[in-house]
Amino acid sequence: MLFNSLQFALFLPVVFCIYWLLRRSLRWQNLFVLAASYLFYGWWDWRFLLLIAFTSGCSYLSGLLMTSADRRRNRAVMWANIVINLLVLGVFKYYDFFVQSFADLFFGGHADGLLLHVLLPVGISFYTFQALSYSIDVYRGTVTPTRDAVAFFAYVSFFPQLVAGPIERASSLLPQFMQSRRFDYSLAVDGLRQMLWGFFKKLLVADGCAVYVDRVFADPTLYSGGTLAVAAVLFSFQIYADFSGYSDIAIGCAKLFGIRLRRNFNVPYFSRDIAEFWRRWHISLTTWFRDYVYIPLGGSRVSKAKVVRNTFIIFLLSGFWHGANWTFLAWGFFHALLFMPLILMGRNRRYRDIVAEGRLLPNLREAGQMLLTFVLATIGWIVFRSPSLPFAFEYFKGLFRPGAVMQPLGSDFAFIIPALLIMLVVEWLNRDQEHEFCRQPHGRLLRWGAYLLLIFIILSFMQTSEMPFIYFQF
Amino acid sequence: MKRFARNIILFLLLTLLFTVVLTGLLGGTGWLRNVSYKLDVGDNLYTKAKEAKTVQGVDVLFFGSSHAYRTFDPRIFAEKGVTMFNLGSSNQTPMQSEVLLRTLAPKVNPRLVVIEVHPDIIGHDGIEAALFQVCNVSPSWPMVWMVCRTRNWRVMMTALYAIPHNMWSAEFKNHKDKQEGYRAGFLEHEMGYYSPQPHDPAAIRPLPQQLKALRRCTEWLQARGIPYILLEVPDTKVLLDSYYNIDDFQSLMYDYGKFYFKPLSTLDDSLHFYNEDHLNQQGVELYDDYICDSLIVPILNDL
Repeated sequence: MLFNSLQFALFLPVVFCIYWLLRRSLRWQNLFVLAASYLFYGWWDWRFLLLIAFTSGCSYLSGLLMTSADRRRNRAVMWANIVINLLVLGVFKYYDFFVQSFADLFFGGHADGLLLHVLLPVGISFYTFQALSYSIDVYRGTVTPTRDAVAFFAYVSFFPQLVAGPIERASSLLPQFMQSRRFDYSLAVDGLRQMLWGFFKKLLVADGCAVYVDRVFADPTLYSGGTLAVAAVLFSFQIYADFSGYSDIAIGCAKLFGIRLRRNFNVPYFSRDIAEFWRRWHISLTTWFRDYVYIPLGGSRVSKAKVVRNTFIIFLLSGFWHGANWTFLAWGFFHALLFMPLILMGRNRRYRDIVAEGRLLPNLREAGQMLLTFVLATIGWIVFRSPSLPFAFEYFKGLFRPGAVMQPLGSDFAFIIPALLIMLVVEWLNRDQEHEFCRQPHGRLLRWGAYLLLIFIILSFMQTSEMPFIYFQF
Repeated sequence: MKRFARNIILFLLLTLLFTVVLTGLLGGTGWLRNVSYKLDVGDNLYTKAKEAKTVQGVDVLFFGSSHAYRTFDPRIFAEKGVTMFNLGSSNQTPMQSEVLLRTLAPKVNPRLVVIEVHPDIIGHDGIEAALFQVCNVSPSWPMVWMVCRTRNWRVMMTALYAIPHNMWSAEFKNHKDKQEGYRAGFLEHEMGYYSPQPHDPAAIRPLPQQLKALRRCTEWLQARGIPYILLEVPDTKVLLDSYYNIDDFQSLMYDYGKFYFKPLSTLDDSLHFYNEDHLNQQGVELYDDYICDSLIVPILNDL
């Protein structure tokens, strides 16, 4: 079930009402969340439910088995759970890629009999990582293992963030399922506001850019360098608006149920260098790799050579997490390279504040830094968006092809540009807030007027075909 | 919680009101991407729908897509002593045929209804034709249901503007869009010839919503005792041969009533078509002559 579908528009109010009717019984409420989440997920394909139940079951059992004080046994249980979950992930997501790559290398690409061609379950990387974090945290002693299976299964499958994050930690989400929730008017209203902003980004900005981007990337050889450059820039905005829009809807939706999810994006295109960009982009995944891979490898408290190695490892893993394709690995490698000068000069923690804090506009230096970071990120996105590395090389070559900027058939700048400008201005003004649609006009009349206008703009200009979120494929 | 519920309901009502008012005010300006209100589209649908209200008691009433309004020429039918009116329109799927059937067929009062069914059109979502229809046909309840069934926001928002506008505006009532070559719903195409192109094999994929609409059409006709047939008009041989499941499609159509596919062996892809799926005027003359003699007149004589 997509957030931008009629089914979800009916599903959400029904689930919301029943959920709060069950508020007197925590167990029934959790059971209902679990049932609603499985219905939400099973809408794609009921067979996916077996997989998520298996992943949840393994992690739940691993928690139960780690209750003894025997550290070696706990370690074995944790590793067994990691291996099982990664095996499942590997079979569904990476098996064909490895077999095909191996066959390409040694057998001239003939691997037909060995490929599985299995359907990739939506959001498998997200919930697998969420389930894994529980097991690791229990082993580390930062989370107490739970016996409440319903709460645990609800934690893994909580529908707002099930298919594309934020990747939650057991330490923050699980306790919320263990205690009774009270309806909080301000939280619910803020959630609706955040959802509205997420829908604006998805339906207007991301889907609007997608029409242009998809046409250009379908056959870049047809277009001039200027058109390819515009498509690359629009893809940068598309992927941001699509994914952060999803995160806003997910976080806002969770607030309706009295549950707080972690922030996943923090205006990443207002970053002054690539290190700051990575502190603001897909925060839940970045911190996952930091906490469970980078730090156990020694983090930055080891020799420079090892820091470089660790940095490459997490960026390559992060790239590979997105999918079984060399383009994602190349994208991760590219970002690791961009990171290197900052690491080697010890300047990767330079910008931990908000750009132009206390000022309306950035100074020239800050504007230049943000532009450069955006351009570098956009170069990376070309590789990310390309179906293969040769395609990406052709795209880069095409950027130098002469000719005017064209508008591919069916796309329309007239709607994309104003939508982009609205997004950038609103997010700039809210860059120091909890989310990008936090700051509101005073007075109900003005506030409601602004919401009504935004809804009308969305309804009048959105793409009318249901376009899935980009990150669902990961 | 009560306060939240009260405010949500109030806000939703305001949203509805605000959207209706602003759409009404701005819908005609062309600024709103999702309101595509255009008269003069759908190849004279406006004129056909208006004229149909004044036509009474024809022998045959045709429904269908461009294959219907480009094929059935009233002049040739008149030579055989058959009166007809053509309510075919661009990309008209059974969902739109149903609206025209329910609202206009009782006024036209035909002796026989012919629903043209085409393997491509039955697989269309009907969005484009729905937009033509909400802009060019007088509003009615069947139209409202059709709009809801499309589940397409652009159709809904265009209808939000078009329905009140067409009910009350003089622009709609006094509009004229007749084209040259228009006669009783038929639209003659400029003479042209088709150069046959090789075709990749393709499947016919009827959409469930179109099949349901077709079923509703046939049930409506049966309930009123109006005789009807389903008719597939000729396509070029290259196109027909490219459908690898044409037999499945045709046997499916038999489930909906008396279905006829009567290709004429003398029709030639290059000489009698102006594109891969539309007859040129020479082809129309040959085919209409043949279909009148072999199908329509015998059926009318039996009624």
